[in-house]
Amino acid sequence: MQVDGVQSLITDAIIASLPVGALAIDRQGEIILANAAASNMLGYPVDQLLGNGWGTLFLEQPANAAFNQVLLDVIWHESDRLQRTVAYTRPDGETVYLAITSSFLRDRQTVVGIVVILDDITALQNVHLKEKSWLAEKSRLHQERAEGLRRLAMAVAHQVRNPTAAIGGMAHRIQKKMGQAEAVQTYCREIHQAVTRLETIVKAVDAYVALPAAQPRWFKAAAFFQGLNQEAQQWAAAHGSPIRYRCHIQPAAIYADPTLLRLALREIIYNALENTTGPGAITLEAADHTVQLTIRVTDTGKGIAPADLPFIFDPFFTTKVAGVGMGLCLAAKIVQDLEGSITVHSQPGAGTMVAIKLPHPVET
Amino acid sequence: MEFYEEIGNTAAILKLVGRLDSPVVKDLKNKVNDLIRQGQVNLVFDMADVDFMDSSGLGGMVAALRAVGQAGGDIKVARLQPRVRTLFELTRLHQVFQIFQDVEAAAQSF
Repeated sequence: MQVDGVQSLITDAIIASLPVGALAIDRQGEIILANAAASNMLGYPVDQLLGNGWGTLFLEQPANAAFNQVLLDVIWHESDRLQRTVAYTRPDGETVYLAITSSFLRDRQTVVGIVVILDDITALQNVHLKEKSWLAEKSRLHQERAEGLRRLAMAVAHQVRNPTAAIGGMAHRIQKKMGQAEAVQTYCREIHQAVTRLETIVKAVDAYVALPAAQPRWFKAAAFFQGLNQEAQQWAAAHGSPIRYRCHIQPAAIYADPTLLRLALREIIYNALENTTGPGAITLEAADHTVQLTIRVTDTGKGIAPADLPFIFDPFFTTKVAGVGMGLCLAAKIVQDLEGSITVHSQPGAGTMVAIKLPHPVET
Repeated sequence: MEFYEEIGNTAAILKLVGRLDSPVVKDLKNKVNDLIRQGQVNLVFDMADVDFMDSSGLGGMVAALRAVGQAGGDIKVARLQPRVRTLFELTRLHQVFQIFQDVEAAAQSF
């Protein structure tokens, strides 16, 4: 046997046993090569593919317009390795998902033909669709819960605001009318303190329900984190906390709503500052992983007890005597509005790490 | 896409102008069905002014051919632009439709 004949035999054997489908079309539009995998994917016997043209086999089926368009785009644009994933309905009615790579072949001024490589990704596509549907359902349930909570919070804030103001005002008038009687003064002071706390709660709930809709845009990361850094330093100085504050920012620009993101990070950082007493450290890191932005706030504070961890994003949950417990709840809502996720890892006595992950497009 | 028809002795000439793609395929089918109802089953598509076709457009032409074929007629194609002609050739539709350089020759071929 001639060397060319041996090579041809080997090539044919390789193509026949490929797990991906292979088709070759000559300059007259005739399918001159089709392997078994292509036959299985397209639902035509090999001998029905060979000698026929794309036009008579596939073009008349309107459901396969996207599939056919791949070949037409390759011809129209004389494309090299055009890649596209499309649905394809076989003659038996079954729909499969094919990843297609196709090239227009030209030798100088002469059209040689087209090669088409097919990969059946139906199983993978079905997993993706199932996952997408599950995530959409999860998001819908979360949105419903968040909306219910928002309406409840709005109603409670509205109902509590007026009686609180009345109680505070009346306590003030009683205090003035009753003179310097020590017991009355003490009672009035306590009423005042309780009213002040109620007003703080109402303000926190108001801030929660009044969050604006997210308006994402590109902004410079360095200036944004510099601003947060300054606020944290001022807070730490005001509270006499000798805390070291470190910042590691990798992306030059971030795509998000800067106002909302600042609000969320401020709450997380303040929480970290409150939990870190003595010569502790707080580290703020931001990293862009192509389609995801990760921001981590890590402190070396007292940590969170495992029993408290499941509740830290719930409204009004706090372990502090003076706290309202809406800060992390607000941060979680903002992250949810930005279509991201927030997680917390904590070790009592060693510190806490809060991680925010946001979908992040590639900057163009 | 615009259609201009002219009824000749041997065939009806349908001049197509513009893009033959998915938004206009239904119009093409309706036009061909109208011609069939009028008894015009031998058609010449003058495609000198068709500067783009997508898979739906080509599929629509195959469906039109089937419809006139069932009525005992045929569709001949004339004056294809070079890139459109390449589409016909590489999908092997030049073996399905008879292609002519000019409309008169196409009409005379019936």
